[in-house]
Amino acid sequence: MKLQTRKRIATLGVLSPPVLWALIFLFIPYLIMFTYSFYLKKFPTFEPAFQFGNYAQLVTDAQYYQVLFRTAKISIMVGLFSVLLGYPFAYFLVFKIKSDRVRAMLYMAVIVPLWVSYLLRAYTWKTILGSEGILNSFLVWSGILDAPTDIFLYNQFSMVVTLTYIYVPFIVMPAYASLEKIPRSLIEASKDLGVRPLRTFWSITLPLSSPGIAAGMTIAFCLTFGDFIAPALVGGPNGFMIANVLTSQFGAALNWPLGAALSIVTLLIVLTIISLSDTLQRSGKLELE
Amino acid sequence: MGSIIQLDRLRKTFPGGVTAVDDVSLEIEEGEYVTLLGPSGCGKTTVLRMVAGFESPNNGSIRLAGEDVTELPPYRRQVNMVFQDYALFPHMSVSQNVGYGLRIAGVPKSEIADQVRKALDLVELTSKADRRPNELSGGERQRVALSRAIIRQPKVLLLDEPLSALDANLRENMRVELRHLHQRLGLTFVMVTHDQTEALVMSDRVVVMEQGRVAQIGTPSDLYDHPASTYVASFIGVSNVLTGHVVKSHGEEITINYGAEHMTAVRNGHAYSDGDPVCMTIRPEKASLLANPKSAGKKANLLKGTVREVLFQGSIARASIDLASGDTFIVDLFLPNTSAQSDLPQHGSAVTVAVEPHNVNTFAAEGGS
Repeated sequence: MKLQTRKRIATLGVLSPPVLWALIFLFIPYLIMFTYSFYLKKFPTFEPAFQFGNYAQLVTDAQYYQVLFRTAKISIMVGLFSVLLGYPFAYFLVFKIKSDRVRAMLYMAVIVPLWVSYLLRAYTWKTILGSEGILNSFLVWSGILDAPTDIFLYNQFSMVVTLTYIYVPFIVMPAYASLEKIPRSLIEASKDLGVRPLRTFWSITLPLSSPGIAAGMTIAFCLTFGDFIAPALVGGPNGFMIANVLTSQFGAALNWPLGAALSIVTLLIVLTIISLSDTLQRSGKLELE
Repeated sequence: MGSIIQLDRLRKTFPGGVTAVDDVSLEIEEGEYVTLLGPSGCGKTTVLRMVAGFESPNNGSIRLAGEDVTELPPYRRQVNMVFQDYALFPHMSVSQNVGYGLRIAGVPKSEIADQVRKALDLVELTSKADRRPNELSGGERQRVALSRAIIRQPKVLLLDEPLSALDANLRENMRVELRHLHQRLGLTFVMVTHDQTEALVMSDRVVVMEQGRVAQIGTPSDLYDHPASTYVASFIGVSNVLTGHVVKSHGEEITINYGAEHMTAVRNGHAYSDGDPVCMTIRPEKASLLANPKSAGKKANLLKGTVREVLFQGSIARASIDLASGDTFIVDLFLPNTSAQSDLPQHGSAVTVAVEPHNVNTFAAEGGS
């Protein structure tokens, strides 16, 4: 057999499992979902068709686009707050901790919660924010409040708090990696050229670590966008997000075509965000080489 | 010209207990090109980083143009550094890199553009002003780093192994370039290197460091011709090191007992008493091989030996001679014409090594050995 033929067969052999996997478990399901999104609802199921009614309903019916907006708003807030908490922490780890052991310990402390079930971590906030919860008990005990309040739980605030708590590690990891990659000599060079530490941070450290921030924020945003557990646990009636609507379309509401259209729209939004963030990260990575 | 840098008994111990710099005092004159030379870990880079302000000494003081800057942060010191890895900002173009300090300092845009152009002109990189650092070659990056460091006319330019990341050819060119730049700018240059040739070629004065301390300070030819210790003698160039005892001092000359022979050396400022153990260093090119001992100069020291091997090195041939004393002595034989090669001594032949007294450098033997 010719060497080139053999090489070609070897390449196919290596490539085929992941290609098959992606085909069977990703592309075909997407295709089915895409097809369904043009179908017509017909009680009790649906019938094949090619029409844009489902998409039109999403745009015209307030209950759908409002949920989309709310989901986007909460996702952006979770992304922002996660960065505001996670980035300074990563910065502190990389630049201010002198001992390698302490740094490793603190890093682990942030990562360890990921080993605990996501469900459990979301549920924990119920016991913290609830009217019988730890926060209320403390406020009543310290005399700040006369009676427990229910303003902490079952609203968008509690959702943002819970999801931010969950996604902070996802910011810390990429931010840490990108901060660690910045050569110390760059920061020294900036100071050497007469630039004070704060300006050095704005002009050198922050721009060079932006790929890490973008990566972390994208993860937090996208995972929040598709989340349906936090809304169900701590969201209350006003905390419904797009994933909750989706599950109900495929469940109780029994409207698969509408659900399919909704998931295609969600997919497009998330893909747009990912590709934008990817472009940003690529341009940043090129620079540090 | 006054002194621009005064280091007074600097000491730096890192957490963990390593003393990188131990009691270093040094004065550098304005406009001088001074090189800190030593192997890695000798503390030379730490000295440079203390002058820049990146490390603060545990002890001692640093004065810059008369002002005590020991406690000043790096951004308040009028020194600039060329980093070993150049430390160019990857997210800025060449001209943005060079103008960075001025831009943050709030200098008007037109003036920045003007100064950046001048600084880039100086290193002949005007045509690459809009490139990013990752689009430049190693040599070009180095020149950007240089022009960025000199744009504000610092009192002192610090260079941390500036040529180590360049390939051999480029490095040789840049040695000369840096030397010319130094002459053109009239700034004080302080360079750190582990490369002795670099130190000899480029500097006015060389500070040889050993384990955090200054081993010797002198002009390149001082250090080469009159090393003050075996450490310096072996770090700079190749030396034959012979040990003996002083037998007699008479005026400028001393007589040294070496093995079964007597050798004459020039005192060169050293004071010896009779019986002192003494080290002699002799450069291989300052000795010669004689077929006929009678042809030597009147005063030459003559050492008998046999040829062990002769290695051809192009412009010279390096002969290893086994001396009667048991030491090995290296002699460089010049090959001024092609026929000289056939006259080279053969393995095993008996020869006499001749060294003029003024080519025998001496210093007190260390540790009484």
